[in-house]
Order: sequence, then structure tokens, then C-alpha cells
Amino acid sequence: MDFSTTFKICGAGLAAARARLDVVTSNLANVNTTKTEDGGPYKKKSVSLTSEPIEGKFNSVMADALKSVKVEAVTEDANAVKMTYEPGHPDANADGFVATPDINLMMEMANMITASRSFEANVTAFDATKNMALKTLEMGR
Amino acid sequence: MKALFDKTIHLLSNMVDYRAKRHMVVVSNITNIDTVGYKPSELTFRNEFEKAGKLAMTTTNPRHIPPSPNSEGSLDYEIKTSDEPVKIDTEMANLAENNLMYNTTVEMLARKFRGLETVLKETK
Repeated sequence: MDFSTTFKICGAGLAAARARLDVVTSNLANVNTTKTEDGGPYKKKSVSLTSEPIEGKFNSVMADALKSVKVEAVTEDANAVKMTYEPGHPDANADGFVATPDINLMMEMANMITASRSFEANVTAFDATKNMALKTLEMGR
Repeated sequence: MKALFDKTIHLLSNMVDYRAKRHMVVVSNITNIDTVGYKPSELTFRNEFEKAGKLAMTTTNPRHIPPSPNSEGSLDYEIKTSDEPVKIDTEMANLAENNLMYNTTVEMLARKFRGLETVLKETK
């Protein structure tokens, strides 16, 4: 058992949770963005995570069970656009409709909370690992 | 060597090993909480844990019940994979329990060593 592997797994989990939080924050910040560099309104983004085997010298039994996590992709939802009637808006079309991102604030907030909870869970796991490592050092005293 | 580092130390170090491995498995489950399609694993003993985990008591009287023959069984682990998604509360409970058990086992080992140290010191 090397604790560094466990720390690495925890770190990957923290990074994944932070990536989710980043994307949620981006969605929330751009809830009213009607113009982007690629043209058109901001597109809602979402993160997909995938588990990844860990490199290390484990026996086959452990190698199957131990999985790290990584961000597989950040996908844009091209259909998440809604037309709102706002004739005075500079980006309005001839009929007075503006293409705005279709972002459900409640969904984003819920995603934010789940991401922050999984971050906390990873922090707890990290802390537990740290305690165990310290306890092991105490054995020699 | 066998007189100093007896079955207890052997068993305790096996136990520490098991707890450490189990910790890794639990951490892996917690890390993959948001991964779609991830199947959580659980580390268990393959042979009867109860038998392997108990130390045989010495029989000093013919009327004592003899220890079970398999009392020093090797600790052989097995991974069980569940098809259900990761349950965060179960995993956190497993983490806490395993952490406590690890600390307890390490403490027991440390005390065993301290006991040996005392014996060595006092006989000088």
C-alpha cells in the first residue's frame, strides 16, 4: 500500500469536481450572453466524467477495483437556445426576437451543490488518508 | 524470531494491510461518485473472516475447548462489484469505519511493539 496512489485518486476526484464547478459557474455567468466569439448566443456546457484505471503494481484483483476519474469531455448543447421577444435588444432579429441561452438556473444550482458535495467527499477521503499515513508513522515511536 | 514476532503481530500486520487496501477501494468509489456507469467495488475476505481473524487460545487444561484448526488462515481478499450506483452515505460510513479500524489496528501493533521494548529494556 502506498498512500501516494490514494492521494492521486483523491486529487483526480477533486479536479473532476472542480471542473464540474467551473462549468456550472461558466453557465451561470453566461445566462444572458447573446453574443459569443463563434457568433450566436452562449451554449450551455456540461462535463462528462469517466473512470480510468490506475497505473501501478497491484495484483489483478485490486487493479480491477481501483479506478481514478478524469474529465472525458466538456460538451456544448447546441440546442439549448431559446428565442425571447425583446425588440429593443441590439441582437434582436427583424421580428424582435433575441436568441438567448436556454439555461435552467435551478438545474445549474442543483449541479453546483452536487459538485460541491462530491468535492467535500473527496476532501474527507483525502483527510482520512492523511490521518492513516500519520498514524502509520506513529507506529515507530 | 518467532518468539518475538508471534502470531499477533503477523495477524495485526495482515489486518493493517487489509484495511489499507480497503481504504483504497473505498476512496476509488468516492472519487467516481459522479462517473456515469461506474460500478462500486467492495473488498472482502475470501475465506471465513471470523476464523482467520481469531487468534487461537492456548489449551492448558484437557477440559479446554481446542481452538479451531483454521485459526491462522491466510487473509485472502476478494473484490465484489455491485451493479448499483455508488451510494455516498454508505461509502462515507465505510471510509470512517475503515479509518477507525486502521487506526485501532496500528495502535494495537504499536502497543505490541512497545510491550516488547519494555521487556527488552527491563531485562538489561
